Amino acid sequence: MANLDYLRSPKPLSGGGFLRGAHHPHCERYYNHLIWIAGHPLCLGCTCMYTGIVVGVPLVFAISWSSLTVGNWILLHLMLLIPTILQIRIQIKVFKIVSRFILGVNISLYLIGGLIFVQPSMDRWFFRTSVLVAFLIVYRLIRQLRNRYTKQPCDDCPLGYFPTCEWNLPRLLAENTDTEFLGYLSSDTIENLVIKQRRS
Amino acid sequence: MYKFVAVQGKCADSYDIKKAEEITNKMLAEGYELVQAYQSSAGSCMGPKSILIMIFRKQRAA
Repeated sequence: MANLDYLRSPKPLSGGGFLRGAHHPHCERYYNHLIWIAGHPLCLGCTCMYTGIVVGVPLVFAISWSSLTVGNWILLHLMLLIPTILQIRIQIKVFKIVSRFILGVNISLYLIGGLIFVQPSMDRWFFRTSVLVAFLIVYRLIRQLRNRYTKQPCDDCPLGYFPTCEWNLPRLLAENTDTEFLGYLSSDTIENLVIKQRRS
Repeated sequence: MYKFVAVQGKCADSYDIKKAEEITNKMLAEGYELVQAYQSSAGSCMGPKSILIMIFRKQRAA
């Protein structure tokens, strides 16, 4: 059996995080995952989705809810989800920006509309609970699809896997004082810094 | 010879310790022993996630 004691009390490592709001390494391989604003990298997905959520709030009040049936309301949101599902495999930056923005708008329309404006024929609180449960189910499904099918830019990077990759090496060397760790990093027998990444 | 293996948690989640143990045992079977582990944290879309860096060393032949 292997010695697993190290896993139970790992040492702290500095320089292994991302810049604030970036949520990804800001190297060129993550071009499709980042949007640069005023010279600072931001997570493209989050930035566009939150922008969509903000834009979606006033849109809620522009919709004539009385003329919208529950069936049409569900259909509308399923259609607005299509770009998000397609984007899991289509890693084109412009498409990602648009799909994440639409997702944000969709979230606002769905939650505010479903919880406040839609007039269901069933019990109001049962409908509201169903709206939230359906939201969580769809969220988990999309998250699972993303984890399963989205290719990670680090996977085939010749510089290794973040954070212990050659791109991040200067930062690791600058921010860590643990001589043991620095010894591993500077070893001339290291095999390309990172060999494998296993997603948990 | 050293090998670095990173195990990261999903968004806003910790890494899977059982997965780390599986990898450690598998690496041992391949002739690599765990010599140290480091933990880091990184911001992600739904909150911070943990990253475990495991460092393995090739065992010398007896």
